Amino acid sequence: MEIQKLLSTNNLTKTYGNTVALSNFSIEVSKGQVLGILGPNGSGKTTLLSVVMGLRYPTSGDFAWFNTLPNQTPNRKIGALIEVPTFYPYLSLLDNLRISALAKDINYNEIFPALELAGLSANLKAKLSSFSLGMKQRMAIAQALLGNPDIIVLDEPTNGLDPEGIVEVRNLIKKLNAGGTTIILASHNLDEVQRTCTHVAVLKKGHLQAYGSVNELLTSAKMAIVSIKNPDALFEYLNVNPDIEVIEQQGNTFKLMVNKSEQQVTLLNDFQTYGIAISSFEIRNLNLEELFIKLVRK
Amino acid sequence: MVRALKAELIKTFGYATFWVLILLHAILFLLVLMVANKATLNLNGIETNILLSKPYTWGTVAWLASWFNLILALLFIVIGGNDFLFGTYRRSLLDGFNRNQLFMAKLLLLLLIALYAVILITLVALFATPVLNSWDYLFTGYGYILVLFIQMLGYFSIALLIIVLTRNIALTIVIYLLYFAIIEPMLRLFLPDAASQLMPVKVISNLTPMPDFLGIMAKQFNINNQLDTSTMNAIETINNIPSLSQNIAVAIAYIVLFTTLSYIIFKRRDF
Repeated sequence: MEIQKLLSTNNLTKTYGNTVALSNFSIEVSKGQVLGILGPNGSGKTTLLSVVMGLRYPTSGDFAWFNTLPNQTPNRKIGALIEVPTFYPYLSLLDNLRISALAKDINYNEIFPALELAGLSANLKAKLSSFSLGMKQRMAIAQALLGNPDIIVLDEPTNGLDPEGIVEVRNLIKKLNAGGTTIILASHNLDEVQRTCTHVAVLKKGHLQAYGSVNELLTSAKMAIVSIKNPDALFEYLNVNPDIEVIEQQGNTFKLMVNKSEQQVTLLNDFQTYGIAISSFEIRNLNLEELFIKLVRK
Repeated sequence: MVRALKAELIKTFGYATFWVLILLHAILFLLVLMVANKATLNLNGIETNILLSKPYTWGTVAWLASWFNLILALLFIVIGGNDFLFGTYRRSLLDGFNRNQLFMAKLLLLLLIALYAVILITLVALFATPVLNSWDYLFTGYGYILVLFIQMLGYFSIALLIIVLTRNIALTIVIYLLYFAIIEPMLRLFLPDAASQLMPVKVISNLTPMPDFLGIMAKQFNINNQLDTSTMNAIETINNIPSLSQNIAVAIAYIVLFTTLSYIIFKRRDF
C-alpha cells in the first residue's frame, strides 16, 4: 500500500539578513503521523511552520502539501496554530470564528463541532478581550480544528494552559490522530512530545539534527550509568573512544552515551580491558530528553 | 473575494471606533452645512447668502465636505491598521485567505467608505441646502461631488501606503499628519511652482478648491453690468489654480501609483 505524503519539504531555507533561520530542511510527513518538531528557542521551529503555512516566503527550496503547489492547497484540509493566538479582541468568539470559517470556505454550522472539541461551547457571545490566556489558546485550537482538517499544525499548543488544559490538549491530539488526522506539533516540552508523537524532527540553529520515528531514534543510542572507582582509567578509555560521550558526571558516577551498537554490547568487556573498576553498572535506552540534549549539544 | 469582503465587514461593523468616527463625520458635516446655510457675506455693506446659492451649491458642498476627509482617512487608517495591530493577517492567512484576497478586501472597504461618504454628503446636501427649493440646477455642478470621491480615494491611498509600510496605526497617523501639514508644504517651498503644483497632497487637495466666492458675488451683483470688464477679469484671475481636469488626471495617476506600491509591498511581506 502506498504511503500518502501530506507534506514534503525540499531543501527549505529561510534567512533574515545574514541570519540563517532554517537551512536546507528536507522531510516528508506521511498520513497518520504525529510529528514533533523539537528544538531549543531560536532553532527555527516557528520559522519552519510559518514558511510551510505560507506566512513567510522561503529564501530557497520548496514545499508541497498533498503533492500540490502551495497556492493550490485546499485550505480547509489544513488547520494551524502558529505562535500566539491572534484574534479581534472587540469581536465575540462566534464572530472571530465566522471570519475563520469564511477564510476556510466552510459552512457556518461547522463552527460548532470545533467549539465543542475545544471546550468553548458556552462562551459563544463573549468578547475575546474578556478571555483568559488559556481560553484564547483554546479558541486558537478551535480555529485550527474548523472544517475537520486532514492535517493540523500546532506550534506550542499548550502555552498558557493549566495542567488540566495541557492534559486535555494532549488527549485531544491523541483522539484526533486516532481518528486519522495527521499532526505536526512544535514544542520544547519534551515530555509532551514523547507522550504524543510518533515521529520527531530535531532542529538546532535551523539545521535538521535528526528525523525519524520516536522508537527508532530512542534506540539508536544507549545510556550507560556507571559508578567508577578509578575515573582516570575511564578518561583514558574515552580518549580512544570518542563516540562515547559523557552526558553528566556526579562525583564518580558517570552517564555515558554509547552511540555505536557494537560498543553497547562490548562496553563491560572494554572496561575490564582498560582496568576500569566498576562499583555499579546499568545500560538502558535513551529517553527523549537525553536524546535531545545529545543532539543539541554537539 | 466575496468571502474576504464579508469577513472585512464583520470586522468593521463590529468595531465601536468605526461607528464613533462615522457618526462624528456625519454630525460635523451636517452642522457645518447648516451653519453655511445661515451664513451671509457682506460686500460693501450689501449682505447676501451666497455660500450655498445655486448653481454653485455642489461645489461649495464638496469644498465643505473635504474639510472632513481627515476623519474618514483616520477611520481608514484605524480599520486598515487593526489587522497589523492584532496580528490577524497571520490568522487569516493560516485560515486560507491569500494575500491578494486580503489586499483586495481592504481596497473594497476603502471604496465602500468613500462611496458611503458621497451618498451621505449628497443626501445631507439635498435636505440641508437650498438645492431642493426648485428643480432648476438641481444637479448642476454635481460633478464636484464625484471629484470629491476621487479626492477621498487619493487621501485613502496615501494612508494605505503608509499603513502597509509601517504596520503601525499610531505611526501611520503621525507620518500622515506630518506629511500633510509639514513635510510636503516644506518640500514645495524648494520646488519650482509648476512642480510644486504636482505634489500629491497639493494635487489631491486642489480637487475641491474653495469656491470663488468673490467671483460668484461679483456675477450676482453684476447682473446690470455695473462692473467694468477689467474688474471682472481681475476677480476671475484671483483663484489661480491648475485646471480641474489636469488635477483629476494627476490625482488618479497618484491613486494608481500608491495602490500598486501598497499591493507590491503587501504581497511580498512576511507575516
